[in-house]
Amino acid sequence: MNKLTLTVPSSKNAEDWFLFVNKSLEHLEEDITELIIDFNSIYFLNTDDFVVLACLIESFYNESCVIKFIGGTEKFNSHLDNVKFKKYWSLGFKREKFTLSYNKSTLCLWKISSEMIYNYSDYAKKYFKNTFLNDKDLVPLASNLGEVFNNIFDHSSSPIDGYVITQYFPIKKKLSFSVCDFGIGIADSINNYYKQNSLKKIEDWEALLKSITEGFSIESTPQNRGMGLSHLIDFTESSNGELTIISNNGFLSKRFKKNYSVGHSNFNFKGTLIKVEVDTNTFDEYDESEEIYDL
Amino acid sequence: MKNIQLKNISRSFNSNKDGMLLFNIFDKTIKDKNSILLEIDNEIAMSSSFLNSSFGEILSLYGIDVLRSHIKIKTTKNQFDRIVNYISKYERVHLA
Repeated sequence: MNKLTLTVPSSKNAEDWFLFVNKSLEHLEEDITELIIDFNSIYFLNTDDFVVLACLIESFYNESCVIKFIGGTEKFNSHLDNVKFKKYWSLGFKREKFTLSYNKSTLCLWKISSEMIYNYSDYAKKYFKNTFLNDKDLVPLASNLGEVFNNIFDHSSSPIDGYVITQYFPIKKKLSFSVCDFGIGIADSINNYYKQNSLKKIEDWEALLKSITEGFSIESTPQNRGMGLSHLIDFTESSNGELTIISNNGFLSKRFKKNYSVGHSNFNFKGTLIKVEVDTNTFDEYDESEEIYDL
Repeated sequence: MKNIQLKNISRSFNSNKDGMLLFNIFDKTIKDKNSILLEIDNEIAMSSSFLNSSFGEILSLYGIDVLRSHIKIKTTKNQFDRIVNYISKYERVHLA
């Protein structure tokens, strides 16, 4: 039996995380039969850490590895139990059917499946409305979750579909969701499109900027109009929020009212990570009164 | 004027395929020189793919004036603002 222990970084630094992912994936060819995820002294993981880790574990699980967990502080293990994280790769657990978490502020980790995109988005809206945000209009949250999911299926060609997790922070009234896939990555996908159209290759961070530009599309389907990720930036800008995209050798971050932060990363992440954080105080009030409008 | 409830057209409002169902209704209404009142529930979340294949396609084919003369919308102010915002963006990016 080939055992492999992966020690999860306690760092919050993206570079540390993606170097960890790349180093870990090098072992995929080694016929590993048991993967041990060691949380060592970890007491907290952000939504982006969770989805990156879930994609990494999924990659090994797809190679028929048994997944085990060790380490982590008592409080952190209690959180993992509440969100059922350790059960996801148990035999028979349906990761693509979302399941309720015991932690009220976290909407379960979900392995994205194309058939259930609308169900998850709609459920996220209903869930947070019924728990913390009953006076708020959560339709933009649902439609933007859909935008990110559609992006995965349109552009990633991911061997695994990807993971999402959504969490509400009641004290700050902030909502965060992260989506990750280990596909070809937005930047490579755009550069492939450029190559097919005899256009000059652009830097990965430039490709990420392109991806959120209104009207830019790689035309992966005839109806693509390049409105999806630009919609997402509108959402974070109108919600006092922040959008972060990491893909291939590029990163992009845009915080409300600040300039874009873009650049070349010191790691090559084969895939795409999108993290959205919004301030729910800025959401419109729930609105039920209907009128007839002329367009 | 015929009333159409969006929630009766499809179970989801996320994909291009979902949007085409609404496009077909718009297209038939315009071709038959009829008009409709489209009722959009305040809980329905429409993605850009859905909107591209419904409102976007019809705008590209006929333009906003034809759409206005055949379609009225019954919904909440929030939902209507989102549709108007989409139409403005679509016109600016794709029809200017």
